[in-house]
Order: sequence, then structure tokens, then C-alpha cells
Amino acid sequence: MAGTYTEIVEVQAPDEAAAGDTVNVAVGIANRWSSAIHIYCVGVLDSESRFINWQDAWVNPGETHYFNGSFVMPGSDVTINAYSYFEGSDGYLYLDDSKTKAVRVATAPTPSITNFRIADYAKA
Amino acid sequence: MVKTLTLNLGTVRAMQTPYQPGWYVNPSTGQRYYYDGKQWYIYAAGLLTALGYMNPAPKQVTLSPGDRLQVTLGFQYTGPAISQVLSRYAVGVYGALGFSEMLVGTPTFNVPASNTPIAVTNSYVFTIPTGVGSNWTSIYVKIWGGTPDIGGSEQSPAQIFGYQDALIIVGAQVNITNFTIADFVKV
Repeated sequence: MAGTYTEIVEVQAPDEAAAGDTVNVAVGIANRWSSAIHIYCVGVLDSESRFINWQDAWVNPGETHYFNGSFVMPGSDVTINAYSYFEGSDGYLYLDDSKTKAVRVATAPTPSITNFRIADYAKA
Repeated sequence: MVKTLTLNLGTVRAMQTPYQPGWYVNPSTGQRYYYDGKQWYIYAAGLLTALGYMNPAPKQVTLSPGDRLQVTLGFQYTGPAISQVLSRYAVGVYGALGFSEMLVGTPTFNVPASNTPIAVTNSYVFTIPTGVGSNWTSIYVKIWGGTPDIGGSEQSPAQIFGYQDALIIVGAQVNITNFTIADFVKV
């Protein structure tokens, strides 16, 4: 659901990542107002770790700006929480929209060995 | 006249299948065996050696002291990357008591990650010593361990495979056969 002045149109991140992998995230925030506004973005992992830390940009009306960040995938599923703020004429920041995206931790495949044999032996 | 044969079979009990993991003893020979739930092992000289891992050799390689023998293991693999897989290559004597290792190599190797089956190989080169025995004709390889662990241990490896009578050792010892009087004639 869009905010009054801004809308998080998407949170780009993989649905699944292996523990230890770097997960790149891009949060697209559109300006829904009739003039340029100063937008701030915050990305938080499981409400604990802030990996997009108050990035800001002036965004023209109708345009979408992408704010980028990354984190190291832990050993369990996580939820990305993205927030958009706009700067009001009074200079304060106001929370306007939010969106979440889940990232599953990839299950490590089990090693599988078949057809084990002596492939060859010869005088070297 | 018809004679009747009487047999006393004693108490007959159904064979236990499947076998439970544990030690078993052949009452006739005293030979000890171990079953881990998947594989039988024979116990000899303090070592457990898997039964049924030796195979007839597809070819025979003739070697003399000083020659080098390259043995290559291979398998199909899917899964994560594995580092430092432990392996043991051996040349030796295979007989009733299992495999007596005479030459041993213990290299480690890495396996790449793959979601589809890939062929993995690894090799070790033996140098045949001057004291080689003419009965050092069998070879085997086994693997275990690594990170992450593929399972098994040196005594109970994850994979093991061998060839019996794969080598012909020549020039190692004086070897006279078929000694006969080839002929005797008036001259």
C-alpha cells in the first residue's frame, strides 16, 4: 500500500541465499507527489540490523529511485524491512511507506558420491 | 531291504535378517566380522577391511623395481564444494586375511560444488621399490572425511574400491619356473 507521497514499488532481493553469501538488496521508491521531494530510505534486517542507513535522494515526480545495500546471509531465514521517509517543509522526516520481503536460507545439499572406482592404473 | 536314515537337526531357527549392527564370529574359524548396518568388514591385524570391495582387474600392468605406477580414482559427484577429502591408495597383497598394504599414499584433494553429477578424479603415483614382492599385485583406494564431511573414517571409509591381481611384478626376485630336463639324446 502506497504512502501519501512515496511508494516502495519493490524490494529487489533473492528469495533464497546460502548462509555466508552476500545478499544484495535494492529498494525502489517512487515519488507520488506533484513536485520533487527529498526521500530517505532505511533497510533493516529482522528489525535488528540496519543495512541501508538513511540513504537519501531528491526524486522528481513520477520517478523511482533505487537505494542499495547488502548483508551477509545468516544461518536462518530473514525478513527485510524497507521504510521510506520524506522530508517535510518543516524539515522533519515522516515515515510514509514500508514493505517487507522474506529471504530463505538455502539448505546445503548433501554430498552424494556414486560409481566410486579405480578409473585407471598404468605405468607412469 | 529298506534302511531308514534318521537325522537329528537339533533346534532350527529362522535366520535373522536383516542383520543387526555389531560383531559376528565365524564359529568354525574364529574369524571376527563387523557389520555397521550397511557393509560387512573383516577384522585382521587390528584393522577392519570392507568385504566385497575387491574386483577382478580389467587389465594387468607389468612393473619392475624403479617403475612408477599411477593409480586414478574416480566417481560421480553432486553436492557442495568439499575441501581436504582424505584418501588412501595402497598396493599390496590381497588374500584370505584381507589386504596387506605394502605401499601407501595418503593425498588429500578438493571437490567442486555441483548441482548436477560431475566426474571427479584424483591420482597418486607409486614408485616401485627394489624390495618389491612378486605377490604385490593388488591395489585399492578409499576416501573419507573432508569439509563438509562426506562421512566414514579411515577404518570405515565412505567409499572403497580395489582390483585383485592388477599388477605383474617382474625382475624383483629370482624366479625359475618349469624347471625340467628339456631333452636327452645320444650325441
